[in-house]
Amino acid sequence: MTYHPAYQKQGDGSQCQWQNCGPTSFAMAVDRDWVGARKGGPVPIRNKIALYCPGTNSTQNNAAVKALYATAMTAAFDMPWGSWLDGLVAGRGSCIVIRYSVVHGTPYDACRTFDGLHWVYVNERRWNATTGRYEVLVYDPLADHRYSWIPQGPQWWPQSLLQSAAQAVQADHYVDASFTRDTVGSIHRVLYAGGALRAKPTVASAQVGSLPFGALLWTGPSVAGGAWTINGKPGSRWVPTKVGTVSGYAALGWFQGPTGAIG
Amino acid sequence: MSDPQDDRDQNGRARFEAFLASPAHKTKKDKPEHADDPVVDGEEALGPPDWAKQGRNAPHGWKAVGDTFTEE
Repeated sequence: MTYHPAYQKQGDGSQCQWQNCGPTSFAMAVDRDWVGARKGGPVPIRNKIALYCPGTNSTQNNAAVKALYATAMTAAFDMPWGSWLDGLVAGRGSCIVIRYSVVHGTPYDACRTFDGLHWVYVNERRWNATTGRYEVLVYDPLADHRYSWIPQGPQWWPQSLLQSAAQAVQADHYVDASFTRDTVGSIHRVLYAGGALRAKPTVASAQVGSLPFGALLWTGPSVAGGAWTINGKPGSRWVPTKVGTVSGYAALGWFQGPTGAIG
Repeated sequence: MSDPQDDRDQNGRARFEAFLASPAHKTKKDKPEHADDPVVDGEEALGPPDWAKQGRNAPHGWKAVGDTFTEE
């Protein structure tokens, strides 16, 4: 199951709250990148961009989250919609620009007085057998339930609605987006400092190396091993991995976020 | 069950990696896009939309509750 970041709203009372759809969406992408072990925030991202308070673009937000949280996003401009969808199902979250007027008249509308361009974070898609359609899990920073009729938090939008809104940004129907890394494949981030690489899947085994904090490492299928406690959580699953040229085993907990999700 | 015309769950990952490696992947834009500033004033004056007046929940019966998503 794909990790669900915590929802963040842009209307947080900060100086640039209503211009912070970009920093808020990218903050949720940071959460996805770190599977909850680190969470971005719109205010630090806005302060890193250091412009008060125009709307923000991919280049600014990507640079900010890389500097603040070591989250490397992949920017893509003028991409076909189909390529964007390929990226989403490839285990990545995505911040994408939409034209908000397209959302009006739907129950997903979180601001009926806004027609312009807007960043949202999209976590994943699913097939809804009941409705017979694909749906995408959209984290709209405006969906804060500030009035009873405004949606609250992430919503499963019809995929076709997001497509229409994203393709309405440019006359040529290409879309602009940034992607997180693939958190679903076999490359995972070392989420905590102090990790050890061991010869065998037990803490009693010799240490053959260290797990660099924040590094992205290949990991193989987990195996049962000796007990460990990492970040206050116990476990006994281990994964084969490699640091540089040295192979060994790492406790799975070094790659598990606070919810237990692997990233 | 899924749409038989959509092969992304099987082939999307490989196709996206190919896209990233292709010349079609643009990592920069001459004129970076900016998100506009939302105008949030006036929402309250508009009052609830028709579907909300009818007592329906947002949106299409799907509501997010914490980290789980349930149909109402």
